Parts: sequence; C-alpha cells; structure tokens
Amino acid sequence: MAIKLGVSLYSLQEDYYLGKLDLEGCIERVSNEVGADGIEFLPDQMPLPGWPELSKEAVDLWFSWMEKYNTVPTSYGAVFFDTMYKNRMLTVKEVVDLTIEDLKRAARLGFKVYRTGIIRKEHLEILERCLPVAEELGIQIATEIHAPRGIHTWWTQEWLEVIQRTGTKAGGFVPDMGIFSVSLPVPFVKRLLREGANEAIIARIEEAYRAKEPLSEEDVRGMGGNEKDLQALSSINRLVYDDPEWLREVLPYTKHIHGKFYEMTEDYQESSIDYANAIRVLLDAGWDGYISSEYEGQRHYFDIGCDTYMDPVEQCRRHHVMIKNLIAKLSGR
Amino acid sequence: MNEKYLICEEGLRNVVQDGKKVGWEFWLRIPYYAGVPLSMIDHLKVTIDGEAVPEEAIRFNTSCGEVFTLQELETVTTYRWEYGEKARITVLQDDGLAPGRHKLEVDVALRIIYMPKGNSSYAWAEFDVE
Repeated sequence: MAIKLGVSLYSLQEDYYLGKLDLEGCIERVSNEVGADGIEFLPDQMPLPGWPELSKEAVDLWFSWMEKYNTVPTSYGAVFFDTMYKNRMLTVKEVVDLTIEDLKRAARLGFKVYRTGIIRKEHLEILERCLPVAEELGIQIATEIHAPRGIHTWWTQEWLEVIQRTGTKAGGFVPDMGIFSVSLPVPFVKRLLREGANEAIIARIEEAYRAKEPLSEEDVRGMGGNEKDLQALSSINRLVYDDPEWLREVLPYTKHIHGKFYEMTEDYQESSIDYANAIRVLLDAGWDGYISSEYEGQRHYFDIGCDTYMDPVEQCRRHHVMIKNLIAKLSGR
Repeated sequence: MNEKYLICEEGLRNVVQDGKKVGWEFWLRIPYYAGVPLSMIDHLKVTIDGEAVPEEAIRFNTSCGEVFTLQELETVTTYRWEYGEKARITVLQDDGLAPGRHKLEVDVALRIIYMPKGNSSYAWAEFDVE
C-alpha cells in the first residue's frame, strides 16, 4: 500500500497535558493500540530530556523507543518563535539560525519531513535560505497547507514557486485534510449548542457554506441569531473547501499528509471533512507517503463545566479504519 | 485554550514565611498545545473575589526554582513553560487570603505568531482556603 498510516502525537495531547501519559507512553499507545508505525512528533509539545539541547543520550533514548515499539519517525512538527520578544519580531537571520539548529535536531532524530509553515512573507525568504542545509541533511522543509490558507493562495503558491525556481529536492508541503472541510467540526457545533447557539441557524449557516453562498452577519441576525450563532458564522468563514483535484498540483512535493479529524463516530464516519474525494485523488495519483492522524476534536470539550473526555487512541484507531475502508472501496478491493 | 484545565486542582493556598502569611498561590497550566520560552507570555491577569491583583504583586515560579515578576518575564528566553507543567503562581499580599471560599479568575495569553489577535484564555475556579 502506497498510503501508509501514522499518528501525530498531537492527537494524544490531553493525556500528556494531564500527566496521564509521558512521551514513551504516547508512542507505546500508537504502536500497540492504534496499530500504526508512523510517529509524528512535536518536540516543543512533548520534549525529550534536556530539550532544546539534544544530547546523545536523548537521541539514543528516542531510537530505543522506535526499536522497542517498531515505529518510525515521520514528520517533525516545528513551532515558531518569531514572537519570542515583546518589543519586536525576530529578524530574518535570527529565524534562519534557529531553524537551521532545529533542522539538525530533526535530522538527528531520524525525521525526513520538517513540518513548518508560512505565516508572514518573510518566511519564504527564511525557508529558502535554509534549503541548502536541509538538502545536506536529507530532510524536506514542508510547509503546511492549512485553513484558512488553501492550495490556491499565496502561502502555497509562492513556496511552490521557490521550489520550482531553485529546483530543490528539499522543499515541499504537508497538506492538512482540514482544507476539505464540508461543515464546522462536529464537536465545535456541540460546544456552541451547549453555550446557547440555535441548531436550525447553524444548519443554515452550514448549508450556505456548502453551496458557496455564505451568509452575512445581517442574514444571521435576521434569523434571530445570537452571539454564538455569529461565532459559528465567523468560524465557518475561516474554513476551506479546496477542490480535491487541486491536490495533484502539490503531490509531487508531498511526502506527508496531516489526517486532520475532529470526531470519529462508532461506525467510522468523520462527517466534517471530505475524506472520500481526497483519498480518491491520492490513490489515482499513486501517491506514496504517510497520512498522520491529527485528532483535534478534544479541544472543543475543554470548556469549564464540560466533563466529556474522548479517548484519543480509540479516535485514531477509528480514523485508520475509515481510511483503510475508503482505500479498499475506492480501489475496488 | 484548555480552559477547564488551566487552573490546577491543587487550588489556592496561603504562603507562610516565618509564621506570617505573606501572600497566596495557585498552579496554572499553559493555554497552548506546546511549551514556549517564558518571554512569550504576553499577559497574565489575576482576579481574586472580583478584585484585580496588581501586576507587580504577581510572581512566576519556574520549574527550576527561579522566580520572576511579569515584567522580568519579558526577557526570559532560556527557561520555558512546558506543555502540561503546573506553573506555581504566587501573589504577594500581606496577611494572605482570609479562611473561607474564594473565587479565582485568570486571563492568560501567549504571543503566538499565527494568532495575531492574541489567544487570551480565561478560566475561573472557586476554592476553600484554610
């Protein structure tokens, strides 16, 4: 199977945050309970001992876990520190220096994809200046294609232009499946309803979004919408539904995909994101790489007074079943 | 972000030095999905029983035992507030809190580059103080 499955440890954040799991425990769950081998790691979320220094002992520990749990490092999720100081942004050179050190850490831990992003224009120059080091290290600098920024926006197109102009082998993308959103995240709607939104108004906001005829604030107020309904509207305006066919434009530079999802039902459905058409394009293109489950629904249960806990391991397991089912169905197996 | 988990279950306690109450403290988790250098804390506002605590009375205690005022935090890039770390926050206040129930409110924000409008998170909790 050209499509391989992994998990971003981001998915297990709640258990780590509360001290129920440590980094090794997260890797163990992915391997033994989700049954996947690809590990996506955010070092600033679940740091190795001594971080951000990376000692030989820490590297050995990391690889001992990979061996023990029969897992492989896939994508290294970098965090931005441009806003380190209150009185100014870091300069281009400062961020280049930090990124080069970070690329070296990622490569020492065995990662082939360095997931970063383009937020401000300067990042294009910053990442281009890091490309020669990435080439030497054998790691790909991959910018995430993430809502509210889709494939046909400058954030993606201008990085594509850099990759093609330089002919680099070390530049690419991590598309996030959230760019194929067909509705608000299901758990987010549940939260809005807990907080007083109107179910019928949210349904109309979502219908209008899917019809690509988005409602205005006046429309929602005219329906008797309250502040929570307006929050639904402003949130849906930041969602993206790109034509899944557009994926083909970036797949030649894509080794890793974020399998964003918000909530898997017991019968393996994620109704907020158009997985079927995205997987169809991946199969048709013969794409080879990891889809890394990125469960992000937990945060919609973090409001004070809400006692819902979603088991992220079970959520990721269901997510993998969904993808395997789609692959089997779409490839006629 | 993470509202229901921000204020930790350890609650509110008076700080006693040489037999005298000199303030009170609580524990706070980071309002983000990763750890950051302390300089990236944009603001930390604390309210007790509806009264805003003066900024200069607040101290952030690092996991390695260093203590910083909020103004000092602006230049602290070598120590981090880790994801999941329960940071001890001390408020200097003569005589501490009176025994009984108190309402604590916290408004905390980090400077995150892709959240240009800020990511201010608000949490509250009520605790009994001995």
